[in-house]
Amino acid sequence: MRKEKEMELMMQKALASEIAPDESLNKKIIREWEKKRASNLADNPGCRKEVKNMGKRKIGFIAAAAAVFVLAVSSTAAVAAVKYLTKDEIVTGMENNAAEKAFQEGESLELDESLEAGDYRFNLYGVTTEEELIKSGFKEDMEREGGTYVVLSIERLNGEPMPDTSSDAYNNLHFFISPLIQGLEPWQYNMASMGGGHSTMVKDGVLYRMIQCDDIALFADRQIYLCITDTDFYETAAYNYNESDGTITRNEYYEGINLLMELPIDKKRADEKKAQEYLEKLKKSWEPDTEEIVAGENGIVSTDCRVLDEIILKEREKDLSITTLDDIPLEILLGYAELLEDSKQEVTAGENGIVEFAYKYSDGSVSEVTGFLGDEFLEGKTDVVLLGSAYSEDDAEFWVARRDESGKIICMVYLINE
Amino acid sequence: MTRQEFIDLLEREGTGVFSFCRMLAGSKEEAEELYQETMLMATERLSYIDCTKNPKSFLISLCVGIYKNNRKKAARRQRIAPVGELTEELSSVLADEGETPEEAYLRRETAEIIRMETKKLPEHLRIPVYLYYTAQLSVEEIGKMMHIPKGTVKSRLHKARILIKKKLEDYGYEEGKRNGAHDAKSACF
Repeated sequence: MRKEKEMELMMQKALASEIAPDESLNKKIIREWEKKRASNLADNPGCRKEVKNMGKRKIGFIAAAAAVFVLAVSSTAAVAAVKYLTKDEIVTGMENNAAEKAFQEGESLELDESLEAGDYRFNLYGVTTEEELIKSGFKEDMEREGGTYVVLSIERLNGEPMPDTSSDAYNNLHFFISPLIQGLEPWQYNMASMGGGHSTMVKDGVLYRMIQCDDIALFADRQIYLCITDTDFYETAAYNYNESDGTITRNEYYEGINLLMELPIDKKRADEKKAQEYLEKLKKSWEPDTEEIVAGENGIVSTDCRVLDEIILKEREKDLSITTLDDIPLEILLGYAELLEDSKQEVTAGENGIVEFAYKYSDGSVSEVTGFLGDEFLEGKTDVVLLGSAYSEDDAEFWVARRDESGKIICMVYLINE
Repeated sequence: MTRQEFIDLLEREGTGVFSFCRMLAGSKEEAEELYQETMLMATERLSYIDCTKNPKSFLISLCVGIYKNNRKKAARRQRIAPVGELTEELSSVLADEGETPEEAYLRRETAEIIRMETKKLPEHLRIPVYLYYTAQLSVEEIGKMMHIPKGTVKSRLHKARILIKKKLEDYGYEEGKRNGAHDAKSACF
């Protein structure tokens, strides 16, 4: 086992690399892309719509690791006198049941704070935190345990309406609004890493945004902040992080929007134990998969398919060098299998020796495989080649191509089960 | 996709994808071609770059597809990798702290052998090795990408490691000695 680990480490050291492309190469690629894009736009004006739709997707980057809900509500024309929506109207307008429920039943905090920066005014309406709520709005496998919602509005100081969420101009608006927590490095712990997402709507020229993230109220015994920058991601240059006491402050020399306000979440909601558990879980989710791939005590590398593992063990009894399924010659492996006669089908090799083959099972379902015949088969060194395989715990299927006496290529399916 | 979004994509994923291309392709020039083709093709398939999923995995998968499609062309040009050039590029990022010059030399030699022998592996072993160690994808992601079961990925990685270990032993690498305390001269090729 120690030897396996040592080899694993050496492979990692030798092959894990961080080689950045030359800047000139990236510039060249951008030029190529621009040329291509310009030509596409000229050839097909309809693709403008596609470009616009894709632009919206950037909202999702804010919550790269989590589900994001994005709601686009068309704005009405700007009117001279703006009637602001109330917090409840905003939450209802977002059409997010979990958020509505959170604001109705959770520990909601009314805020009436207004801050100005750059060309904008930001009004903070409220924040609410509730456990076990976000879960209901997401797929079961999301394992969400709670949530914090913050509602705010953004408007232009010169009175010009904020752009509609479906417009190109909206795509050029960049705001990163995120809770930050004292004692947690802000570049590491923010909306993007803590299950964040946001919903946006524009009404009467005012942009309303509701942001959500994991339940940060667990950290209420520390200072919780809300940061706002005019960037897509957390901007390290915008804030200072004090390593000794974990406080976060604005960088006064930063050129751009870098607002920071304190979120007065009820300290009673703090739960040190749960907060610690949450952090451990979060950190674990960032770790690369370091699953160890080694032979087990029986000397073989398991396929996670019982019947195949038994075959490997049987073959290992005859030849100790066999440790994996790939070590077993194909014809010997197929000797354990049943050929599904009705699967036989003549195929023609395409470019690069690619063959396509489909098999219809008795239940009507169809499996398709596209495989490479490989150089050895094409050069006549072998007349049988494995195109693909699929295993479950109990059985395994192998899609095989054979060359018959007349030179025809016949694809077929073999089945191994208990 | 706006120009800025494309620039962001290159900045965010460029190094990961290029590192993979650099290992997979035979030379820097081929790696640059593969990288360019991958990134440009990615823009045509943007609907697959779902921000809630894994853009890196998608880009690497695209890269493997392009590599395989070009493999005939590549085969004509393929030569045993200029690993010296690659080692030079990697030397700064692979340095260990507190090692003696001799240890550093041996480490580089061992890494060079591993990289060279990996390049000689058959494709069905080589690609999973790069996906796992260089692109640092999980066994599950590799399985999905290559349309093979997780167990097969595991066994191929295991097999590749055994083959490379054997080669290291041929070069005089001894088990348990840090960075391979083999006769340095025997590794000069």
